[in-house]
Amino acid sequence: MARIIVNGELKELDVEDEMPLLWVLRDELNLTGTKFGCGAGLCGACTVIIDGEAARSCITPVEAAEGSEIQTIDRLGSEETLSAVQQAWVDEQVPQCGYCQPGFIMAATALLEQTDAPSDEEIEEAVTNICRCGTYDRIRAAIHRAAQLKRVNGGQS
Amino acid sequence: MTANRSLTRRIFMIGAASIGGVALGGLGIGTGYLASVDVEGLGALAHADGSADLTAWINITPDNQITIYVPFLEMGQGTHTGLGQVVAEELGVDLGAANVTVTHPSHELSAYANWTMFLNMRPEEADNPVAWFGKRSIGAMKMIATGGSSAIVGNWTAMRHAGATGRELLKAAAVEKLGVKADVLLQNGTSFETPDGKTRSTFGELAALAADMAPPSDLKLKSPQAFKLVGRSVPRVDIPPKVRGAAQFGIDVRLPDMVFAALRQASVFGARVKSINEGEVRQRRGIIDIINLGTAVAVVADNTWRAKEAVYALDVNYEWPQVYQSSGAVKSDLKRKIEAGDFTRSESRRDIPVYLKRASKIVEATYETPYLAHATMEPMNTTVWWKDDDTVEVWSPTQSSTLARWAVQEVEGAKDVKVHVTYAGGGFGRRAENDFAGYAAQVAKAVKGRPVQVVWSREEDMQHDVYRPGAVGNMMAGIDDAGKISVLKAGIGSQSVFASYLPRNLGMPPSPEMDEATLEGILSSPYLPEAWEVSAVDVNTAIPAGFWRSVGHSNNSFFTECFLDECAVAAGRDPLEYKLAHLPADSREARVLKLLKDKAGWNGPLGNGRGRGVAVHHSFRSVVGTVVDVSVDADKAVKLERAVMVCDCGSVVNPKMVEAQMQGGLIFGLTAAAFGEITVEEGKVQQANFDEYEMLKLASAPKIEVHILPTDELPGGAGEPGTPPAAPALANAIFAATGERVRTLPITKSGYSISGA
Repeated sequence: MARIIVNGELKELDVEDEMPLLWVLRDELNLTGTKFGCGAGLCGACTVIIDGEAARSCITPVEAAEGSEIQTIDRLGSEETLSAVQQAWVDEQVPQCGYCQPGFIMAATALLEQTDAPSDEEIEEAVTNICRCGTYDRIRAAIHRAAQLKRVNGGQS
Repeated sequence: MTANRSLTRRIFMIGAASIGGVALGGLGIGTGYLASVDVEGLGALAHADGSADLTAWINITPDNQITIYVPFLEMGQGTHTGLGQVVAEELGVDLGAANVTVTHPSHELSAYANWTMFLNMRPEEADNPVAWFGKRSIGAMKMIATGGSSAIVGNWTAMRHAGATGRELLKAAAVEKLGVKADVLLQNGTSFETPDGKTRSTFGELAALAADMAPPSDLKLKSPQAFKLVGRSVPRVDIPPKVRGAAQFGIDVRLPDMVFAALRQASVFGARVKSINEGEVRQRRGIIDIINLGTAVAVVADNTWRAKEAVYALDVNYEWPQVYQSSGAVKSDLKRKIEAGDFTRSESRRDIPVYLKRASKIVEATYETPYLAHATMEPMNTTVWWKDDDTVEVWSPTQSSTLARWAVQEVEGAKDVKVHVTYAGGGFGRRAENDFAGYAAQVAKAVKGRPVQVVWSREEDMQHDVYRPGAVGNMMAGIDDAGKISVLKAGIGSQSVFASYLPRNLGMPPSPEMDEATLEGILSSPYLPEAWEVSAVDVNTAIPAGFWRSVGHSNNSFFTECFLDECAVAAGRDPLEYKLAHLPADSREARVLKLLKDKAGWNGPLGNGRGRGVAVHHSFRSVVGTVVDVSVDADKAVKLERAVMVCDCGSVVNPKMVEAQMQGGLIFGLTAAAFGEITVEEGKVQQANFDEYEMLKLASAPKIEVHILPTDELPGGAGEPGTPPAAPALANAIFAATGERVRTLPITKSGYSISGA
């Protein structure tokens, strides 16, 4: 039995301890915003936030997240109110195919929780996800913009 | 994906057979059969529920929901937005309005057939009998397909006509309903109103009546000066759901009572599954079925992870192939044949030996490129619901719902196959294949009654791709006293993409004569001097080859643009000036290069250890020029400092999306040139995941500036043309920085690495 808090809701799940969190989210909880890309922690498409830290859910066994607060793209913002990072992603028109973007958005969200105004170098060090469409220039711009939006909103993401 | 004459002939044969079928039906009910193949799609139809199709591309419901059908896969290129803009422009509606949606149709119409790609013909040029018959052949096949950078090229005019026809039909209905003359009627968003603004009807209220109106006899299109959407960076329609994780990709399809399956294909090309020793696997938690698919094994479970763990726990016995494939053997075969002059095709002008003898200097170089994988971020997958009555519903991120449907129909017993096309996490040509749909249908039949989603692991995706063939380019030039190239010889060796693709996906016999990819971009090179010879060498291999973003151009641009750079150095000239000197002054390439020289600051200062390289290439009706700046340290670590691109892709529908496609095309090409290599040993692909097949990331990718050359010409392609100049610009920049020629890709083969990677 796994007990995890997903987007603020306590979930008690009868799954194997070693089932990766990714597949708990996608196939057990039907939260499909978090994507499967490589299954080996290499691409970051599956990035979620666990207790404030960006984590690759495809290599995180659910038992390692026991009792943790997990935040996924699915409830980061709503259709009416996007988070600052999501809004910046719209403003900069970042996504192309968009498949890797939930992972990037979660990685950027975690970064901005820790660093108010990251430099290019800090962004490049913290965000190591893969985008096959080549949206990197706009991702960098969107993270800077999101940092600004957060400052304007008084630190609210 | 373009077709030569031989291929066109074969497609006509298939198409003629389809038309024949229609003809028999038509004769039976006494109607003209060719008229029934409506490739123009400008008719209108009212449905029983009060909704109406006003042309094949617009549907309007009584509650005023307007749907624009775009029969192309949205895989990141922005086609739903771009073609949505074109229709919305003429229809006079706002693409961002809450009641306007763009979607891939789940129904198939002749009007959706992509004959532009198959015939390699712009609609505006298709005014001869061959085109007439070709359109109807492809139309009769209802050949829906996304590829060849053809969506805007093929539909720019058709979709403007569609939008304008819809507008005129609605206007005619409004005249009748509101009782005012057409010239005083006002359009306000998705409704028409009387001049005093007191009486109005929404499109939804007018749609059914509009479908009965006579189609406009002389359709007036907007003048470009009046465009409100086209030519502007309208926000993409797919971005809001994509930033919320709410957009539905193939892998996100969820249906009641659905199950999940994992696939394990025979690791060796050509091997077959003889038997499966299940052991305890079937008793594991959540396992529903274990299925032998002939060339693969599938496990169906209640969770994708359980299925994947189980499928790799099976003990599978194979029947091994007689011949084991090897990418190394392919490469040596190609080199040997080029040396021996064992060409499958050769074209030349004038007496080459005479010109070579006359030349004051001979330059010769041989280049090599590897096999490459597509590595779309969303691995291959398809969801199939084989219902109890044997009707089949399919959800697939496919570049061709037609190919997907055919693949499902191949599975015995399938009836009334309907394909829904989802968003796709990248495509790049990989999804123009039928394998992922075919496997999913086989699995679905085994668990009849329950929808099943078959998801490939990254390893399956990478080791069972259809690869961009590796190629060898042997280039020779004679340079005259003035330093100009007077004779050029190119021997290009490559496995034929077409000979691999067509039998696999369209059931055609393999034939080297139908290849169009091996010499594309070189046979039509504007650099070809007075005397030239261009020859192709083919190789027989069962390694599956497929369409990979820009196809043969990806190899041939590397060969020609690096070789011209070498010739420039041999002639003691600046590479960019040298290329300009070999291009007709009024050519699109020359115009692009001139603007690029200016925008990139070509003659601007470079620090120590830095180099600047340039390449320009024409593909898919567009020309792209790219400058890459690198710095190289003592350990041969290459930093991609910046890139500047100039593109001439004709009239631009959405500049921001063109910019994104150029950047994306460049990153795709640079990634391959930097790291990309698929090798096959003893029949097995040696790379399995992103640690062995690396990608550029934020820290290693260059900053990219894109400039669009303004022009009023018809639109060209945008999805692919950004890729070909990437590799040669990088290799030329490394030479400029180091004095060392990189003639073999990826650059890691020559001891280089990418800094930040």
